[in-house]
Amino acid sequence: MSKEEIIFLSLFCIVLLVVFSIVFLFATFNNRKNKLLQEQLESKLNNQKRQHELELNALRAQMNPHFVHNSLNAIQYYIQLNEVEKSEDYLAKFSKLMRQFFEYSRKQSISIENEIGLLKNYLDIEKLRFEDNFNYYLKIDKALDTEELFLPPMILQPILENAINHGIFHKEGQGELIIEFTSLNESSFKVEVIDNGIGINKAKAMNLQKLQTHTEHSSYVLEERLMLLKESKNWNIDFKIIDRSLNSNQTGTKVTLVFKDDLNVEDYDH
Amino acid sequence: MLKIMTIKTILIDDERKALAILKNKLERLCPNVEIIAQTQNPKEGIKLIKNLNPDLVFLDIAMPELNGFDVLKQFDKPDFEIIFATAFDNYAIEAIKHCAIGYLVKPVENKDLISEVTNAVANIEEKTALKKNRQLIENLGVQTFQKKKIIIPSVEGLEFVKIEDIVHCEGEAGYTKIHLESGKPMLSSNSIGHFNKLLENNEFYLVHKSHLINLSYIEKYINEGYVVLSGNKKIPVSRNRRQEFLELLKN
Repeated sequence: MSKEEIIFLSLFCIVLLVVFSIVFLFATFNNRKNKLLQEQLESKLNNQKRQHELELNALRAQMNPHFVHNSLNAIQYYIQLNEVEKSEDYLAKFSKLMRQFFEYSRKQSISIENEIGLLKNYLDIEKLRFEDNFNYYLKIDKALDTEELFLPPMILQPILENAINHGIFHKEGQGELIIEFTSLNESSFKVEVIDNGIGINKAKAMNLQKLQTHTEHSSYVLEERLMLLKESKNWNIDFKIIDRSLNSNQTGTKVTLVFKDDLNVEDYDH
Repeated sequence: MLKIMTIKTILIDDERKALAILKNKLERLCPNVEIIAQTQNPKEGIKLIKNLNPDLVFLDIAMPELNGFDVLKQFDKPDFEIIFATAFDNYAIEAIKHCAIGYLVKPVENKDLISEVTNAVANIEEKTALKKNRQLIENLGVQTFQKKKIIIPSVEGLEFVKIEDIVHCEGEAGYTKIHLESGKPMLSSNSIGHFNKLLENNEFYLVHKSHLINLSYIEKYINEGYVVLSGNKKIPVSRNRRQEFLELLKN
């Protein structure tokens, strides 16, 4: 082999090696890119799926069959008493509430103002059912901007429904429900739902005896929703539930929800 | 002496029960409404309106063969006041609201019925029905949302505004200032919430509790939380609405 031939051959080998490495690197790079894209797509799809689940859960939590039938039953009661106006009023309110349920459960968030409108409508229907034995008080902090602060739809209504059906319903005498909205800072707020019913501990014990799973189901749906909302990274909500008899000599249950907004901090107004 | 106007009224609904309910409520709650005819057949309804010349027609929307809008289209000069009735039809309600025409959702709430009839009485005195009904017929033939016109009642009468000419609506103490592409802004005694519902569509967005903007006029978005509309108008975007608004823009 001549010297030239050796140089030529080794050059050839080097070129071959370079070409191979380029091809190899390109293939690896491409592979990684595809994998990354795939992952992104997958997580996007997952998020979408989760969102759908949330919506479904919201609907399920809302259109509680107990509520529907209790309401229809109360309407029947007023029809039997021949109280035409009251029956009509009840029915129209019920229909309006169903419209709101359907409309809001499709949305990702609603303003506090809209949520309060829905809660009032719901509570007025419950008032018709309990007649004079039930009252509610809505306390709204003046510092709270109810048009500019939002919350996921259908979070509060099931909590009120639990308080009424499992706390107040079993209580003798006047049932009272307080819903209090407090501003914490510009973009965080607290909602407290306080009832003077029998308290969550007794309610749980009663449900165990009756082997009824409804309460468990609705609180499970609520917890599930709160968890999914946290995972979606769009919401940060703290949830706490206590039996009031533990800290004072009152009865009843207190649920506290804190809606924190530490998510959009990076685009805070300068 | 108080003069009580009698309102000659025709009821059209394909459901017998719906007619009975409405009749019962009107007799109980609206003594100045005189029901001169009622029918379950829309074609007969057209004849009745032509022969009897009513002041007011309660017209159901979802009917087989001819729906409520088809009934309206049969008239060259529809100068009767209408209150539409529907169980659930967002598209139809939107079209009706655009023209400031009355409507009721079934089951009818008594207080809604009373307020719609009170409105109708005022409209009959002002003779605004023909213009509004003609606008509704015109809008039904227009496919593009922005090309439709909405009717805004003002102190001077009715204003007809093409949706695409609305740049932005500004809420001010319960009133709304409507900024148009050209000319002076208009003032409406309706709240911004009313216009948000009226223009509820992917082409408008309430970026702030007092600013509803037409998305087609956006020139740019500034990260501090402003949107610039054509004519160099800077509109604030609320902190809590930014995320959703930006997602909407991306799509």
